[in-house]
Amino acid sequence: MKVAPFHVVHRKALPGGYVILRLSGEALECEPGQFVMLRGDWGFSPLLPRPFSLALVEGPDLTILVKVIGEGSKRLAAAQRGDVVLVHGPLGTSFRRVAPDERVLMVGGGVGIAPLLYLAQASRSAAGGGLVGVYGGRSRRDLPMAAELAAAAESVTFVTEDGTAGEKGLASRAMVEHLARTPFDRVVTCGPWAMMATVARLAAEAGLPCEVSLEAMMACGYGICLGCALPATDGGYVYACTDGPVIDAGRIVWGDQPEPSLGTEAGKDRKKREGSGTPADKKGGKRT
Amino acid sequence: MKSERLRIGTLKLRNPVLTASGTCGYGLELARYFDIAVLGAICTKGLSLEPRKGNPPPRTCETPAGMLNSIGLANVGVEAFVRDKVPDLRAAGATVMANVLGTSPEEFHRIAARLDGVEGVHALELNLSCPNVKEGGLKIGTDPGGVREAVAAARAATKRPIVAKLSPETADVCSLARAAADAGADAVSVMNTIRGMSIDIRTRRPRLGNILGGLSGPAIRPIAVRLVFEVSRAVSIPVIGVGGILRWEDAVEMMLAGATAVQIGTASFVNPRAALDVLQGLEAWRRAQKCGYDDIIGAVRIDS
Ligand SMILES: Cc1cc2nc3c(=O)[nH]c(=O)nc-3n(C[C@H](O)[C@H](O)[C@H](O)COP(=O)(O)OP(=O)(O)OC[C@H]3O[C@@H](n4cnc5c(N)ncnc54)[C@H](O)[C@@H]3O)c2cc1C
Ligand SMILES: Cc1cc2nc3c(=O)[nH]c(=O)nc-3n(C[C@H](O)[C@H](O)[C@H](O)COP(=O)(O)O)c2cc1C
Ligand code: FES
Repeated sequence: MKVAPFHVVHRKALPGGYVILRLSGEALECEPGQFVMLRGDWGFSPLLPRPFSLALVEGPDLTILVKVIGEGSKRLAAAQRGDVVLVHGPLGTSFRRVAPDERVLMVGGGVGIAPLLYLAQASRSAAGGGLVGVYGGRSRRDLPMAAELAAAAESVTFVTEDGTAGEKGLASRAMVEHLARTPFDRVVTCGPWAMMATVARLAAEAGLPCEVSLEAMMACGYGICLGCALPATDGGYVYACTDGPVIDAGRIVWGDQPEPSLGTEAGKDRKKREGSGTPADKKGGKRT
Repeated sequence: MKSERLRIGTLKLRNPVLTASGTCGYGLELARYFDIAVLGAICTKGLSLEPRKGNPPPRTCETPAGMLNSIGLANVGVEAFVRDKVPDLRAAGATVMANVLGTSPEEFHRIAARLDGVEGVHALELNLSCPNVKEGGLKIGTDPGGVREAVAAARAATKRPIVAKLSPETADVCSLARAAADAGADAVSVMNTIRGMSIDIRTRRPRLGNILGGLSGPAIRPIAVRLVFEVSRAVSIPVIGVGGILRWEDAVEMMLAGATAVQIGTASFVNPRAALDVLQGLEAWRRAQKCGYDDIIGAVRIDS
């Protein structure tokens, strides 16, 4: 494995600070749920590469959905056609493929949709079973790649907190309604920490296995720094880059988001949750 | 060109490029990217008597030209290292420098004794300088008496070459280096990370779960070069330079300052092949200069 130079072959900016990048280079063998560490060839500032999920892989082309958060994502999102992006990967664990006779409920929030989209596309092309989606965000523009998801999954329920697209409310409520309507074999989820915590709890209550795709601060992305630790139910830690990012939800302690918060709003929201007991997935990490 | 100086005690180094502890796992993680046997040595994650799970997250954050970490010396423990990692390291043909994390002279003694005689472990590096553990670590490492005791305790347990890794967080690193040499260390390495802090102004919280962390990366390189320069003039044993080396040019700078060998740390997070790239660049430069490593070590020109 190595760090390989890829070129931006397509770039599409979406409202809300999202950018879709298609990168072309040498074909990599990837599975849905895996991620890559990315940097531009911008010298040593920012220094560390940044982790991004694979949203789609077609031959030598990788599609990445970037939400602008800080300097690294800003620079990546600004990459233009022809620019070089250094790709390290694929890294980490992947989702179990959807078997032909399986019914899987997929709950995504914000940029957390990226690995789920890849899963949906891969399951479709492999003639997988039924993949039903719930895709939530704050408002209409926080549902990037909604059309692609709708095309890949059997059906998708869109949910926004402000009601500007789909149903008004929270992804977790839509999930509860789905579970009440039809039987599912298992759940997969990726999104803000608080949302995944709720999804994990609801899945456990329904007796369904649940795979989550974790986020953590990563310095290396391949198991050498031991930086990406998250509290585990066995009393130790799991490492998001090697034990994850895709991991059985039951292995994670779904307490508060590991502080300090990973996103712009998460710290504030955490305080609000503690103060007023509003639903845990009201807002949350930076994936919304 | 043959080098007489590329050695740490009885260990002859193939070349002067090593990996730094805590930045290459147990070495095997890098073997997926290149042949780790070509490096001067692989320096493992710090090994404690018992496994340690480490500090609460977040454990890393990026800072200008570097990063902070508060890993807290998470490691599998010396027993599991010997059982699970050493056989694979041997199979890979790596030269292994085991980094030892004790919180007291007795612990340094016991860990060194456990590693003594283990086939495939070629040298020990004593971490006398970690900013991320409350006990031991910094305390042992910031006072010459503490350094002397810890090195002597390890020395009594093993004949393997011993490297004392020194803390930059003291007024006089040279006296720490002298204490290490007096107690029988075969080399010293400088530097470990230096403590720092970063605050997220939006949440007003420290960006590390442990509040403070160790600063590494190019931000600390001038400090490391200075320390290598000073320490190499204070002791006669070899000095290993570590801190902020990203490219082969940085390794040359460190050697000119007085380093016999260098360690590559944070650079491996950016590029898994960083140590190999530095080695190849260094070799090519040396050949073009038609000089041996012995001609570079400490060869900074100072007009008097
Ligand atoms: C496995 C994995 C997959 C990811 N997939 C995607 C994706 O498909 N699309 C996408 O837009 N983002 C994704 N992320 C998040 C993305 O890596 C971060 O948004 C990015 O690293 C922020 O870097 P920055 O330089 O822009 O911000 P910085 O200036 O580094 O940080 C800004 C804020 O973001 C937080 N942050 C920084 N790095 C991370 C990180 N690695 N994870 C979580 N929070 C972080 C910091 O705490 C800080 O509050 C993923 C993260 C992981 C771990
Ligand atoms: C994430 C991380 C973990 C580290 N763990 C250890 C350790 O276990 N033992 C040790 O002696 N030094 C440890 N260090 C210090 C490095 O070995 C090195 O001294 C320091 O990072 C400076 O070099 P650099 O700037 O090239 O990274 C660690 C450094 C980092 C960044
Ligand atoms: S990010 Fe370095 S070990 Fe996971």
